[in-house]
Amino acid sequence: MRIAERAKAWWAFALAASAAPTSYLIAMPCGGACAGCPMGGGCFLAYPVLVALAIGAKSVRFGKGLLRRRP
Amino acid sequence: MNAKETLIRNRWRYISFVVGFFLFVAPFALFTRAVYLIVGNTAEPTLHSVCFRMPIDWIFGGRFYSIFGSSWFMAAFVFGVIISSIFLGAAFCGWLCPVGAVSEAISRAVPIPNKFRLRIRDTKLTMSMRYGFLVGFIAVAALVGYKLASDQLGSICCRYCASSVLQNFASALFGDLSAIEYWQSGAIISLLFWLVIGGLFMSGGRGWCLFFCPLGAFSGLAHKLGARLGFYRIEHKPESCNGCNKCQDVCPMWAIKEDHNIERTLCVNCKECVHACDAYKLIRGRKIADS
Repeated sequence: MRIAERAKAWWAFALAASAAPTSYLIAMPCGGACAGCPMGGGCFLAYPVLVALAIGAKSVRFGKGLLRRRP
Repeated sequence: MNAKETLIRNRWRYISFVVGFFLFVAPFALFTRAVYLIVGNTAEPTLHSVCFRMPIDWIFGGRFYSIFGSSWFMAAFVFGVIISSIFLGAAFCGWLCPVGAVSEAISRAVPIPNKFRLRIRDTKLTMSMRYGFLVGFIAVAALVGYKLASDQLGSICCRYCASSVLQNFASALFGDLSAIEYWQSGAIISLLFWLVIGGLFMSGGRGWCLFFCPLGAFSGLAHKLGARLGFYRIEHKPESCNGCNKCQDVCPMWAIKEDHNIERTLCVNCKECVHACDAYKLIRGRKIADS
């Protein structure tokens, strides 16, 4: 059980740690055009926010209910 | 507990938050104005003048010269906050930071049932996410600073910063309507996560502080170090605990573990647990102090 909890924590850490560099890679082709883009850096934040919500939602009752497949 | 009780219980903290707003947020920015007056800087101060994240970006991006440049007071402020957390806990986050104050206030003011609010009970998971995001932030700062990636972060850094959103919101509210130009989608996503998802739909209203604030993350580490060295901390006394879990419900930073001990890296010294339960005592040095 402890190993499973530890693995879960490490998995969350790894996923969160990769969020900013991944979104940086996604935004990289745009180069320095960010200030001129109507997204204005929104792409950069959207991915870490999704990661945070995905990890968080799986650990609460309401989120589990939403994610569970219904018959 | 109703809103009136919460307001009375936290009155000193809320007064302190109002003071924090006037100290750091333009057009007031009294702290920055005072520093500018001392150093003879004639620029118009903003919240960005004492940016909470740029000095951290400089350190990990190898731009050490910036710390000793014209913005040295910004670095002094950020490192002062972190070092003070060793001795006082993360008091800046829990008592002065206007960004956390606004989201926490919105969370308290809007009565949404708790079942619709996200709360992670597992402090290890919360901590993993908080420091995971911090490591990601540092990695990007290093990639850009050491020219391993193109330097585009600097131009968009402020667009996903809740402090900037607050600054522009306050500027527009108090007369500088040009701040409205700032409202691009990056700022709107920041606003949504800071106030709506992190504020309204996360228990305690401190979702931004928990996951995306590098200064808060470093202050948490400093507090953990300080507590180990015997400085300011809140301790749980198991012999006085009846296992009601009220402490977990009132903690805005989700810092109470399953065994009711406190995860120091998340604690912001708000003392909600001390007010809610006799099993928590404030300790300075080796003495147990009155709350």
